[in-house]
Amino acid sequence: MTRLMGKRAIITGGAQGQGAAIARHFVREGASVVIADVADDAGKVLADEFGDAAFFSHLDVSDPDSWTAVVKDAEASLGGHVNVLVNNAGILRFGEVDSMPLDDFELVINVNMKGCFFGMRAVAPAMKAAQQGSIINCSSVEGLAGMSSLTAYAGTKFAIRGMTKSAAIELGAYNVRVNSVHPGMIDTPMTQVHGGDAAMQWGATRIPLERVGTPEDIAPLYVYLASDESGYTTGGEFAVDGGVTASHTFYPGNSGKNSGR
Amino acid sequence: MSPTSLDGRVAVVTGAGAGLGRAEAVALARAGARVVLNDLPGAADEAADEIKALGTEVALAPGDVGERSTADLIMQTALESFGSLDIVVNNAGVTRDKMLFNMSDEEFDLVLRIHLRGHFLLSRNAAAHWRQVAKESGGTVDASVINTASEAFLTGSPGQANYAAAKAGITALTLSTARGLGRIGVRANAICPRARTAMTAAVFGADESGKSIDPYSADHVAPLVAYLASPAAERITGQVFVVYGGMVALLAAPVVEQRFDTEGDIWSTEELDRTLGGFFADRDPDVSFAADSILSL
Repeated sequence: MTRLMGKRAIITGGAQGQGAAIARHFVREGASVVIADVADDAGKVLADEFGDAAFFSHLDVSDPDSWTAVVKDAEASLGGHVNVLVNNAGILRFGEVDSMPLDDFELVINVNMKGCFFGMRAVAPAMKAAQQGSIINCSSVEGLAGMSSLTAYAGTKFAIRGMTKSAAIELGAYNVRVNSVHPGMIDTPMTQVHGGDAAMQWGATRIPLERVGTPEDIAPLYVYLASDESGYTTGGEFAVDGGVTASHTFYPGNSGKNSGR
Repeated sequence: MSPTSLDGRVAVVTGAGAGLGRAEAVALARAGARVVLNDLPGAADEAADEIKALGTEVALAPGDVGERSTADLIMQTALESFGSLDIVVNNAGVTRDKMLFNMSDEEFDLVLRIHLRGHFLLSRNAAAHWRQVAKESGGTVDASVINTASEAFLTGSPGQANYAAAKAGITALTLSTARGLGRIGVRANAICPRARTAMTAAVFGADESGKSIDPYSADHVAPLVAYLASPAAERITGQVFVVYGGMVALLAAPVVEQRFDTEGDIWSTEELDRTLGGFFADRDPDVSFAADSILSL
C-alpha cells in the first residue's frame, strides 16, 4: 500500500463522488493530497478524515486566478512541487442542439474544458522543471462517442481527450505524462442529480457487465496512472465503462419519431 | 503468568495494515498486548477490525512513518489510549528496486526515508519516553524494540542499492539502541524476515511449495516478534535473526579474516600491493563481505 509514496497531488472535484474515492485511494497508497473543490464543507470533512495526508483548498476550476493561488498553497502544504494533477471536476447539463440555453452551454465549456486546461497550465511549469509529473484528465465515454442531448458535455469531453494527447506530446520530453480516463455510467452525486435511480437502472440494461459503475471501480486506475508503474504511458485513453464502448450496437431508437419513414 | 505472555503490555506496529505488520500485530494481540496500529490513512482499518474481533483493544495512529508528526501521533495514541508503551515493532517499508545506474534521487531518498528515518523517528521518541519513565521511577523499564532489517544488507542485492543501504542502517541503529538503552531496561533486536507480501511480490512470486503453510508466510515470522517482545526474551538483545518457514537463524558478528601489518612505519601502496595483492592472488575474487552463505539457509 505504498504505490504513491512521495506523490503530491491536487484532485479537483475531490470533495465527493469519484474525486473523493480517488483521494481515499491516493492517501491509502501514501500520497499527500490537496482536495480542491467548490464544495467547502464536504471537502473539509474529507480532508480532516485523512489527517496530515490531506488538505482542502477552495477552487473554482473555471477561474484561472484561483488556480494560481491553489497551486501555490499546495506547494506549501504538501512540502514540494505538485507532481500529480487529477483534473476530475466536471458538470453535466442536458440540452438539445436547438433548445439548450447558451448560459448552460457556456457553463459546461467553462468548467469541463477550460477547467482542465487551466489546471494543466498551472502545474506544468513546476513539473517540467522537476522533470517529473503525471496529469490525469477525466474525460468520459462521451469523449469517445456521442450521446443525445449531450452536445455540450460530449464536446468538452472530446476536447479533454484531444488536449490530453496534445499536452502529452508537448510534455513528453520533460518526463511529464498526460493521460485521459473515460468512465462510463458511474453512480455519483453528479449523475444522480440527472436521472437518479431510474436512469441508473435503465443504464444497467445497456452495459455488458450489466451494472452501473461506482467510484470504487474508477479510483484504482487513477492510482496506476499517478504512480511510476505507468512510467511508459502517456497520451493514452483508458475506458472504465463496463464495456459500453466495446460495441456499436445499433442505436436503440426508443423515441419512435422515425417509425414509418 | 507465562513468561511469554504480553498481558498488560502495550505494543505499536508500523505498517500494520497488511503483510508482515498485520501478522505481527495479530500475534502480539493474541499474546495479550493491546496494540496501536500504524499504516497509511485507511490502510489499517481492516486489520483493526480483525484484532478487535479477537477481543483485544486496538487504536489507530495513521500516517507516513517518515514524518515526525506520525511518530508523535503514535506515542500520543499509545499513552492516551492505553497509558503506556512497552513494545515497538518497526516494520513499515517500501521498495523502489532499480539498478544503480537507473535509480533516481527520489527513489533513493524515499526508501531511506521510510525505512531508516521511519525506524529512527519512532525509536527516538520511544527512547525519550522510556528514559523519562526510568528517571522518574529511579529504576528501569521493561521494553523491547523489534526492528525489521533484511538479508539484503548482508548480501548487497544488486537491484536494491537503496533498500540494502537502508537495512544496513537499521541494523546499526538496532545495535546502537541496544547498547545505548540497555542500562535503562530496553532491549533491541533486528529480524531479517523472508515473507511473501505486497512489498516482495516481485521477488518471491507465488507459493509453489505445495506445503500446508506457505514457507514464506508472514505467520512464520510473527511468533518470533511476539517472543522477542516478551519478558521470556530478557537475555536477548542486540541480536540479528533470519526468520522464515519454521526456522530462526541467529547471525554471528563479522569476524576478522586476516590481519596485515606494515613492516615500516606507514603503508606504501607498493607494500600494500605486495602484502594484500599476494593474499588476494590465491583467493576466490567472488568471496566478499557479502554473506552469501546466509542465502542457503
